[in-house]
Amino acid sequence: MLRKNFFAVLFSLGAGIFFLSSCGDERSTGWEYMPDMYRGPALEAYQPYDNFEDSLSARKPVEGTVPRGFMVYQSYASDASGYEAAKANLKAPATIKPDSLTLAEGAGLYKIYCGHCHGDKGDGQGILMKRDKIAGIPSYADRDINMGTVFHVVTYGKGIMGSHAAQVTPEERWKIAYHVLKLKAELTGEDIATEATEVSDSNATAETEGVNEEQNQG
Amino acid sequence: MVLTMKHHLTKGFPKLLLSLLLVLSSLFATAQEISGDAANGKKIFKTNCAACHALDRKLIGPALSDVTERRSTEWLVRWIINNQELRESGDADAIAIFEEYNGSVMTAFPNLSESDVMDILAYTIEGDKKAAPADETGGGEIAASDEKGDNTVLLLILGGILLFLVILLARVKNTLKQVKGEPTSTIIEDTDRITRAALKNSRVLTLITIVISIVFLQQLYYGLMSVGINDEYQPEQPIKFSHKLHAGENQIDCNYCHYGARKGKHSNIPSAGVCMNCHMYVQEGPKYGKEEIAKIYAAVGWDAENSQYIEGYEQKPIKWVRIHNLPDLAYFNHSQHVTAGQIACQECHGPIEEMEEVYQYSPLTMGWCINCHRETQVKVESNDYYTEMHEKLKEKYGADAKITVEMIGGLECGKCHY
Repeated sequence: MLRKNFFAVLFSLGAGIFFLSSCGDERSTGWEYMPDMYRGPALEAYQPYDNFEDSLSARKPVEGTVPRGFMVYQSYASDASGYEAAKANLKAPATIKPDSLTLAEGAGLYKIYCGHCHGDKGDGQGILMKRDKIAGIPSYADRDINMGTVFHVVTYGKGIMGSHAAQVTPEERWKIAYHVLKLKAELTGEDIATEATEVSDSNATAETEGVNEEQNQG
Repeated sequence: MVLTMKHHLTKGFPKLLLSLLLVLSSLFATAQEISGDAANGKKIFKTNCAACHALDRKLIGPALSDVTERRSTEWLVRWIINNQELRESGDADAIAIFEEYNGSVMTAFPNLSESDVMDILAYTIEGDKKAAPADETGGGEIAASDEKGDNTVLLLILGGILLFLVILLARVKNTLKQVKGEPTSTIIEDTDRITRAALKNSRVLTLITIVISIVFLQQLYYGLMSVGINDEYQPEQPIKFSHKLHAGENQIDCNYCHYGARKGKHSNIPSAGVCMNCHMYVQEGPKYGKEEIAKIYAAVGWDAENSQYIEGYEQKPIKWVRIHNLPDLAYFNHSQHVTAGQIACQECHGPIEEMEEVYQYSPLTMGWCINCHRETQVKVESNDYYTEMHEKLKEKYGADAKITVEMIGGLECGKCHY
């Protein structure tokens, strides 16, 4: 009797799971053993939370919060006047020097954040341009740009380019700017040494020249 | 009197001629002799103008499809080549448009020749003729992706053929029996008779029981093992965003949108602001047209007609549905894998660049984690920071041994559970 019942229970369990799991749809997560472990009371990133009016669990930091390592960039407005001011005055901080490591990092970041529009060579022929998704990307060779303008444009955007401030930190923006000017120099065939004048710090200038020599030899 | 008139005439003659020309040219605005090469114009337009102008809609600057009707050719040439100079010369129209667009400065193009400008203007009149075939290729790609449906149809056809064969054979059997003068039977009667005979036969009964038991036990095992494992989970998302289009065809780097993966524990869901980096310009997708992209605009408050953010708009979050979920008891850090480990996103997330809709590719079980930590080789080359440690590892395991994540402590409980 017991044996007979045991098999009956096993069969019904098997049949139940067979129909529930294998025929279940991909829109559902399926069964969970102890859901408490999977969905704990602590808030996960992006989880909706109704106790706040906007239902967002991710809160903004208190107004005026300054993150560690933050570089001030408030003196340049987001409009055309700020662009001109950045072009005239904004220089890379002395701590970020255009050495080979910076340029390599800049190249990597450029590939991720800029290449699909501006092209890996900076000629404005990125994949989105080639596929006619986005139009109007100029070649760096045709634009009068310097470290200040590149930093300003990455921070605030220009024309149809949006602000990339959320995606790249100020430090990374400077690295990208060095790489952009390197691409411009390659496109126009100018001597890369002109780049060195962008750097205000004298030590950095010396080092840039060192890098240039290496590159010229290479 | 004559003298003064003459004086006036000589002084004013070029101006007069100019305004006469302007009047004339604006009169014949549509019929202006713009004999530029539209194809070349398109090329110049795409690289120089399209960042701020479109033909059919306002972007940063005004729509240009009817610009030759609105303005004279000569004015346009002067404006395009150096608008600042034109404004400084006191041209009323130039100052008016400058003020209409809140003093945003159009780039001067001194490198364009007059014939280049004529080419551009010819293009603004002619417009895009290639738009239609481009849409067709888009449609073709979509059709190719729906291969799942074709399989079911094929199976149904095969099933139908089999059923037809069964009926045909039964008919043949009955005809033969009729010829022999024996009583005929229908398929249902046959099935019933065979089943009754089989159920009475103890050997057949045992065999059936064994087969059913094995199938059920196997299903029970896999069913229980799959509890809490969500691979192939593919929830419906609020926006029909296609990774296949963005990451696959357009080859946008994963890190462009999920920029947090390089730096932190979470690979962030991109904010709508990141979408807007491109979709400020791209207002129509190849598959769903404007419908899906409009959902981003509704979330951030973008006025697509006038290409600007609506002031005072109450922004709404886009409620994406989370797919990958690790329980709180396990710690996982994206940057540790993406930046330090140099693991490609696809190793865990599968062929994302081919997914129209994302599903969970990996089971995310502990066994799966451990397995990868056992097999994955640590890239020791050109990682100078840990030279000393790598030397020690080579001493311990031999110079040629491949150093896996396990050897640098990747299997220790406390790495993930604490």
